[in-house]
Amino acid sequence: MARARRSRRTLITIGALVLASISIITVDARGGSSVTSSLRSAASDVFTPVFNLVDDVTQPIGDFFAGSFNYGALSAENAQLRSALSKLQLEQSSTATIKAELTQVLALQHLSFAGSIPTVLAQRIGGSSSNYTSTITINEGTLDGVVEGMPVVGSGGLVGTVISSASSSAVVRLITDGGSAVGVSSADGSINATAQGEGPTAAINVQFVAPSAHVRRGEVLSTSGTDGGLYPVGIPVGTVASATSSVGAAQPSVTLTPSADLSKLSYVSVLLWSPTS
Amino acid sequence: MRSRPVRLALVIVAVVVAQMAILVHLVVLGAHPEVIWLVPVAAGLLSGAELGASLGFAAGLAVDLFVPTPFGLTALVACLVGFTCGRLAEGGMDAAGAGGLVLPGVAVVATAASVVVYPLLGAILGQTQMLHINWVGIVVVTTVANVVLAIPIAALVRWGIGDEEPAARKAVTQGW
Repeated sequence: MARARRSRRTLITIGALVLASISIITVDARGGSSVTSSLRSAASDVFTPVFNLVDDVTQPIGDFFAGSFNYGALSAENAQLRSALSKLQLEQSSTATIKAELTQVLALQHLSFAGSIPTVLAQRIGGSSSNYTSTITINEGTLDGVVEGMPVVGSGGLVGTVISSASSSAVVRLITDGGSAVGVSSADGSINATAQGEGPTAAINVQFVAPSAHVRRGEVLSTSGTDGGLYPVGIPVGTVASATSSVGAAQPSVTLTPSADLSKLSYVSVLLWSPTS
Repeated sequence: MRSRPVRLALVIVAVVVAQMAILVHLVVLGAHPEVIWLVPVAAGLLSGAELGASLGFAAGLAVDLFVPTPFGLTALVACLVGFTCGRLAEGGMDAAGAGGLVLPGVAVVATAASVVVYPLLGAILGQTQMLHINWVGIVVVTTVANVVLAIPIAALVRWGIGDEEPAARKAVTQGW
């Protein structure tokens, strides 16, 4: 009797929790996103310093253990020599890294495609917090005017869109993310299509290409501005990597390689441009 | 510290901080570990379906604050994981059984199931882009990491529950 009562209570609890979860998901999907955005923003403001602190503390410990494992078995002389060599290599590597970052920053100062749109330079401070999305975290947020919906560019072209922002950080959805869709067109206007992300490891898929369109490999497709004005016109999105037409297919199969090197992003520029502007 | 809710809240905060500050940076095969699934697994096995589901829901909701996937989705999946593991415990499965292999074994199966069900549920809820992921990398990295982390996380959850004799085992031995 008691067991049945307890079992019933457990089922009621699980039922209530499942119902609560589905309700939260539904509210979030049907316009309640401002509530969840606020919650996420507040949580980010509170916990980001904690995450950074823990990261700063644990990174040297990890490096220390890695160093111990690597050099523990060697003699003292070898350890000294290797240590010296490592320092030199580290200096060389750091110099190369600094040079690369400087190049990125300098390139971001002269974005021809940004036109007169004001920009905010931001540093990438983290990768995706989820295995199921392609995002990066940057170190600028609402305090610097960075809000949801703003386009983010790198030295080569479009990087993505701000999908959430806290006071001093923001999350950017990359154009390779499965949820990203960007209206693109060719320079001569003969191609008008949608660049759809297919995940971090796959090329961008170009959809809704007219069957009569002549797509050339190596051609650069830029934002068309026709997707409800989500992006300013003329930002390079990607270069056509492949374009094939099959007999009977409704449209040619076209893939893009992103114009911006998404794998080596240290700095990006947020265009202070909202979709409504 | 005597209050169980406070201890469990600390457990959740500790796991979320570890996930977001440390584990997200450990990217191997294009994926990082997801330790959050171990919380409902351990709670379910140690204390039964009710606490497993409740703690899974709370931990999932906490993680949902920091990931750009639908809000509530992690809570839903973690809740179901906790319930299922709790039912296994109530059915007589002992987390410390089989020479201590039950916990890591259940952790592997539950983690693999979670990381597959999670994007599938997301797709059912309209987030079809969640299917465009590195399936193999995610499953391999999360399951391997969770085998390693199962025992320390279970110890943390056991401290949070603060009950020397697991409720599920009590239920079995005392016939409720």
